[in-house]
Amino acid sequence: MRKQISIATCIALSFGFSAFAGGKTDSNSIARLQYNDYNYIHNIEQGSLNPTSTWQLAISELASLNVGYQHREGEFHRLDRSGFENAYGVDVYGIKRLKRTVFEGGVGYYNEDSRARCWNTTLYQNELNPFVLADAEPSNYNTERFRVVGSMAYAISPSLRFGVSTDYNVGTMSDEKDPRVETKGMRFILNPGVQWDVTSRLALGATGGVNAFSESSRYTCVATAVNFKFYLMSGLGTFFPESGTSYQRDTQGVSWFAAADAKYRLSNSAADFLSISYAHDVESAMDGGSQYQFKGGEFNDNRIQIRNRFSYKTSSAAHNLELGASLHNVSGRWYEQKKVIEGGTMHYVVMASSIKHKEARTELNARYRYDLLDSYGASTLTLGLDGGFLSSDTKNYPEMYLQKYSNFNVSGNAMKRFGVGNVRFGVGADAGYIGNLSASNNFSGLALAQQYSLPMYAYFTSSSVTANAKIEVSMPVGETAIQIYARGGAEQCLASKVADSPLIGKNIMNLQGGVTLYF
Amino acid sequence: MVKKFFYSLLAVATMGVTLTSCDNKEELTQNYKLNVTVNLPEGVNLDDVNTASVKVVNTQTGLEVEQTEKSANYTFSLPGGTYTVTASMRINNGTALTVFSGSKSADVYAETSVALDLVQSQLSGLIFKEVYYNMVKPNGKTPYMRDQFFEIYNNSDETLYLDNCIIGMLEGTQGVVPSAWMEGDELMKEYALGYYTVAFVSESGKEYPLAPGKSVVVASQAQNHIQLTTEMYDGSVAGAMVSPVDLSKADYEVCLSDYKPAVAIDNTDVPNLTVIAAQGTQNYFMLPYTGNAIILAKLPVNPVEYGKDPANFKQKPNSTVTTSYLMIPQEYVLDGLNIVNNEDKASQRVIRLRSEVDAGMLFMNAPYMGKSVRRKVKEITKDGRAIFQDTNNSTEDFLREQTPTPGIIPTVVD
Repeated sequence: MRKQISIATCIALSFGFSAFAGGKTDSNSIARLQYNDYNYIHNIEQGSLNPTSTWQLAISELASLNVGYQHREGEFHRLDRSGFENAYGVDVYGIKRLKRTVFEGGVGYYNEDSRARCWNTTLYQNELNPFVLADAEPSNYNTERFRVVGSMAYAISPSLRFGVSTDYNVGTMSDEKDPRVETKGMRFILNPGVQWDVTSRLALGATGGVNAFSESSRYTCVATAVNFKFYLMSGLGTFFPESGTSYQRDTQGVSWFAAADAKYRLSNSAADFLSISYAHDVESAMDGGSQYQFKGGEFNDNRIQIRNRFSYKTSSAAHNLELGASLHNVSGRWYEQKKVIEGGTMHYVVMASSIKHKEARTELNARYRYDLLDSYGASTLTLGLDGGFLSSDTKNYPEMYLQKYSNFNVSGNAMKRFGVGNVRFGVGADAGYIGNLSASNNFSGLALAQQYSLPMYAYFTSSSVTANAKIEVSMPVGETAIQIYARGGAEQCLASKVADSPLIGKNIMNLQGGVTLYF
Repeated sequence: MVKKFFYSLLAVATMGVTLTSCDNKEELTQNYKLNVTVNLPEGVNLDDVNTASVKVVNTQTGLEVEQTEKSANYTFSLPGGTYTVTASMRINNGTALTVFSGSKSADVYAETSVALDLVQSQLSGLIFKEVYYNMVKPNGKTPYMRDQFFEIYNNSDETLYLDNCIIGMLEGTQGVVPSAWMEGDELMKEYALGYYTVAFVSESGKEYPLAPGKSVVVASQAQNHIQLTTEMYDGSVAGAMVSPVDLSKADYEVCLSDYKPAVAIDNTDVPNLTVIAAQGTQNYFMLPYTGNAIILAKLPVNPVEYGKDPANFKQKPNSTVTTSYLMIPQEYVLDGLNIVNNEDKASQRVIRLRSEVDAGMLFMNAPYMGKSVRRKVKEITKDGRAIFQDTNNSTEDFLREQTPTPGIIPTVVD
């Protein structure tokens, strides 16, 4: 759950500074200023994997330019993440509806400086993939990400729609302290989809796609007389040791996913949208570059997700209830390889392979959102309640190392929007609690138990409270509008299943701010 | 609607269980059994053995497992990998220590059995007391490579002779490839020497006596390196260090004036050892900072003649390189040390000596720190003579990261 929050934050920063961006709406300028909320309220398909959901966008035309900044600092963080991050991002985003076609897309750039980061050199690799190339030397990293997204929906007939979406991410990450790593990564997602209005009440949709992933990490050293340790992590802190002044890993993955959805309109006010998806992710690491080839592990994740949103909307209010669940079945295959010297050159021969790492992960979440609407359908007050449950059961063989925990989270949020003359204000706050329900581990005999496994476990099993506040101010400037926003908050660790964890009592605060221009 | 969602969740859960069930059929990573049978030489009974040790070391990960109970059969449960299996058994009858050892390489990717035929280790009176190869960087940048020394000690209670003894460094470079000098899964019982090989050349066989408890220091260059490096020292650079040794009064030195006249310096007050073979191109008689195995051997013939005999040279097996290396049979070896680069990386802890010579290994924590490896003092006799520990296992017999003490014999037990 905590991970989801951080991912959401990252995505928001890397591409989503337009969260409050507005545009020329079909109805009024206030809806423009609250574009994201407006679309959520009036488009029950928002967030669907199916690109035909673009057809349902509540805004016909929009262009925005956003510049944002984020600062995150504190000692309550995952071991493999920095406790000090400064980032800025720039993105442009737009929507254009034509007669039978709707386009949506944008381009974003993100630049982050982080301090004292170690234990992870990955950029776009699946976060559940245990095969991470790492070092234990805290270093200052710079990360640059570039993203292009696009989605198109086309109405083949009044009852049949086709859509396609692409999401291209490319980035680089590096540090300048031995052993210095440079990681270059790419992730590209392509998925077409269709939706068919079976009746005036029922629409069925389907989508499927591929997710291509490529990443390479190269360690080099300026001081070549010193041997640095490289950890070829294989789950829960197990690792294959390497050392020296250079090391190289290339990870590739081609995954696919499919989803089916159904939208049912119960009445003019009520509708339901159900989506079920399945994804099969594979990522394979190959080490050694051109000198030799050493398999660094193969990751598999079979994931089933279900999401249902029920919406009840009147002219003055909107009620939305979302329920979701996802099941992950993760496995990590390790290859036992023998080093062979032939003719003075070295290579590896695979002697056996087997499943070394397994994780069963279940996530459940529920969300209720109430919006009080003005006469144009824009929200003047938002109240929300969220709840979730996360269960993770990880085993690592042959020693049967174990990490098992379950957490729950609850949170509430409120946002009030009002106008004073031409200026529109938004003031909001949210607060949440993450609690641990159960936890157990077995790291006995693990070389990195104290250095890696227990600190990670301490974070996963910690209880914490969060509180955030946000404010936005929007005003017209000639033919355009400008929005200035700021958001800040903190998360405080209350307890952990590792009794003497240094995380207890620590916090991490985050600040975001930015300016959005929309035309 | 709630009912529909409930049914959907049920369906998803069912699919999830199905997926999990499928994976349960997959083979999980397991440990494999390694059965080690230890065969003592004929006439030696297991009952006579006082201490036993069978150690397996994963050549890639460094995983080390040891069993020390006295037995003829041992069983290990190990992750898949290639292992060096070393057995050592000692008999102490109160007056003498006899060590039997054996070593083999074993691929353990299924249940595997290995039989080790132990042979008696050579425990000679002439041993390496101390080796300094760590070096320094006086200006923090450039390595100072001339201050190495090798100290030989008479650990016996009678005078021994260094005549026709050689000091040699084994062919190979730590960090490149494992030893090529293998026969099947074992190291050869003869050793190929690279770099320079030097000798106490003698006609009479009695020219280089070494009394009990005495040592000789063989310097790479017999100079006052403290003074020389002080002149180069730049304290403003991190890591800069003055050499810790004054070798101007070393017992012997190696002058490479015939090979490297540009950098060779001959201290005329210190006798030179004779270079009998030169497969290397180094400027000095030295080990690289990454270390390498070294031996002290006594040849049955004049070392110069030995070094000229083509029959004593061999080419590297399975190699297209035509260089021939001087070979020393193991029975000539008096003492040897497996000096490796570090313990972390498989290709940098390559041992080149069989367990009968050295069942352990030595390394430094970091290069250019001015430290040495010195043998532990086991005992001080009533007449004040130091007896160093010599079990043919350098891991146990030596102290690492020591301040060099050339020519100085400790007076207390370590």
